[in-house]
Amino acid sequence: MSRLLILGNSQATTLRLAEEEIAAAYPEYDISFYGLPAIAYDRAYLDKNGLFGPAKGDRFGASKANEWNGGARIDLAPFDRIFVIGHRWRIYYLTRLLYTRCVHGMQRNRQKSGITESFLLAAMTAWVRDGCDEIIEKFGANPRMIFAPSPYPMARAALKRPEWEPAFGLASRLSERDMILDVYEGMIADTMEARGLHFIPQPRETLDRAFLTKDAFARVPEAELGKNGVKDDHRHANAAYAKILFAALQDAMLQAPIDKDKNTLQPKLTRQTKASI
Amino acid sequence: MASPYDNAPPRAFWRSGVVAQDAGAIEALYLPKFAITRESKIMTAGSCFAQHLHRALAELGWGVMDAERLEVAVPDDVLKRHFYSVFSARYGNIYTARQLRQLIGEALLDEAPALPVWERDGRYFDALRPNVEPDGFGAEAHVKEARGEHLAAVRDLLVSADVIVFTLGLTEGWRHRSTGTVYPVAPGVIAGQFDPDIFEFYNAPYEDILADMRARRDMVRAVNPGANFLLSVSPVPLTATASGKHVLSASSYSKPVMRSVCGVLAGEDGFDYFPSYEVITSPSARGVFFEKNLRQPTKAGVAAAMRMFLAAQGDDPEQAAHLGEISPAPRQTDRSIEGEDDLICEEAMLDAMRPKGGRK
Repeated sequence: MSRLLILGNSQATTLRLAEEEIAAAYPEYDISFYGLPAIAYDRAYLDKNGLFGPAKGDRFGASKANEWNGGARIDLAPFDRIFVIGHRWRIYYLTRLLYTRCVHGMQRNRQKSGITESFLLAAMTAWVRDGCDEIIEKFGANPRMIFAPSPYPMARAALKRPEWEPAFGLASRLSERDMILDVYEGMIADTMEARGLHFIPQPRETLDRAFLTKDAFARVPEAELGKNGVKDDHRHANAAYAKILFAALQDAMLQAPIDKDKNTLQPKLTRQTKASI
Repeated sequence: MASPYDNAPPRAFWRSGVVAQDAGAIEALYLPKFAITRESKIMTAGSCFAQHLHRALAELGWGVMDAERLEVAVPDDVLKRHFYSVFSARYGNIYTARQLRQLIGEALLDEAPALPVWERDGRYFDALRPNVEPDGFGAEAHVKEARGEHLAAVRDLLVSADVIVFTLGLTEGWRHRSTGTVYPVAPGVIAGQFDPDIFEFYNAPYEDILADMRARRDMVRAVNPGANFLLSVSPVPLTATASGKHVLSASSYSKPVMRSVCGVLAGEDGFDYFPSYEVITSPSARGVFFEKNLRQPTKAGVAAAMRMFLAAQGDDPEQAAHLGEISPAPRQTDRSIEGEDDLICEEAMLDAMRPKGGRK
C-alpha cells in the first residue's frame, strides 16, 4: 500500500468530501489529509525536520491546523506521494490583465488600451516563474509532489451577482480563450518540470469553457446560495469534482512512479494532452 | 576699496561653496524658482538618467503621474523591459529637445512624423519609441493603434501636469532628411534600415535646443497655463558618437551645450533648472558617483541629487538615504547590458554593437 498525502489550502478539502469513495475506488492508497486556511497556508513552511505547518507565531493557523488535522504540523517523510492543491500561479493577475486591457491582434474593445501579445506572454512567463519559485521556496524540489491548481470559478460566477468574477467571465468570452488557457497551463507544466516539479491541470471535462468550471461541480448548489446563512461560494468544488481530479492524479502517478530505492522520479511525467475545450 | 564679491554668500566661492562642502550635500546649489510639493502632479520624461528621477520620486511618494500604468501587478523586470511605469508614459527615452518637441507637437497638434513604423524580421516597431516593445508588434496597424493610445495618454499628461521634469540627455541624433523627424536611435540598431539618402546625423546646436524648448513651453502653456518645466542635464556621458570626434570630446561638447541652454531657460518664465548634473560630476565627488563603467551614476549619486531636491523643496532630505530599499531590487534580466543596472537605454545598445578587437 502506498501512502498518499493530500495537502493544501481550503481546496484540499474538496478531496476530503469524496474521501470514502476514493478510498473504496483506490484501495492501493492509504490517504491522509492536511489542510490550512489559505491565509495560513500561504505563510506555512517546511521546517528543517521536514515538518510542514503554520508560520511561527501564527496562532490562527496553529489553531486551525489542530482543528482540521488533529495536529499543528505534519511530517512529510513517511509519504510516498504528496498531492498539493490550491496554488494559482497568478491566474488572478492574468485574468485581470485580460479584463483591463485588449491584446493587439486579438478580440478588440475600443474602450480599452492595448497590450501586445509578446507583453502578455512575457507577463505570463514571469507570473508562472514567480509562482513556481514560491513552491520551490516552500517545499524545495520534491519529486514526490504533484501539484494541481484551484479550480477555475464556477460558470455562474461570470454573471453579475454576489461574489461574481468579472475578470474570469470576460476571459471566458474572448475568442482566443482556449489558446490563452493552453499556453498558460503549458507554461506552468514546462516551468514546473524544469524545476523538477509536476503539475496536472484542471481536468478538461470539468470545464464549462476556458477559465470557468461547470456549475455542476459547485460545492454549494445554486439553490442553496444565500439561504440559511450559506455564503455565495463560486470557487470551491464538490465531491464529483474530487473524484475526477483524483483520477487525473492517479494517471499522473502511474505515468511517473517513484523508484523508492533511489527516491527519484522515473520516467519523467508527460504533460497531459491539451485537447481543445 | 569695495569689490562686488565682498557681500557674496559662501556659495559664490569655490573654496567655501565646493571644496569645504560634502560632495553629497552641497548647500544652496539648488534654489528653486517654484515650489514642488508632494501634491504636485509631476510628469517625467527624458534620457536614461530621468528614469532614476522618476523612480526616486515615485519611491519617495511624490505625485509622479503614470498615464499608462497597468492595473495589474506585473513583475518589475517585465514592466521595465516594456517601459511601463518607467516614465509618466511609455514614450521610452527622450534624449533630445527635438524629440520632446516632436512628441508634444504630435500629441497636441497631430503633427505627423515621417516613417513612424520600422520593420525587422516580420515584426513592426514604433520608430519614435522602438524599445518599448522589444519584440515589436505583429502588424503595422497595431503599431499605429498603440501609438494613438499612447498619444492620448501624453495629451492627458500635458494638459494636467503641474511640473514637467525633463532631463536632456544628448545633442546627437538621427533625423529624416526631408522632414526633419528625429528618432531616438539610428535606423538599423533596433529595427529599420539605415539609408544615408533618407536619414542623416544631426548634432543639435545650442540655438535649436533653445528654440525647441521655448516652443514647447509655449505650446504646453496654451493648454495648461500653470505648467512649469524643471530641467536637468543627464550626467551620463555619451556611449558612442557619430560626430567623427573622440567620444570624450563629443561628450564634453554635448553636455555643456545642453547645460548652457538650461542656464538661459532657467532665467525665463516657466523653466527652472535642477542641478543633478553638477552633483554627480562635481570635482569634489572625485568620480565616486559614477559606476565602474564611468557612465552610470551610482545609487549614492542619485540619492545625493534627491537629497538636494527634497531639502530645497522643504521636505525631509534623509528620506533619500533609503532609496532602493522601499521596493525590492528588480530582477536581473538577460537584457541587462554590462553594468547598466536595470535602466533601459537604446543608446547603450550602440556599445553592444561596437566592433570587437580594440580597433582604434
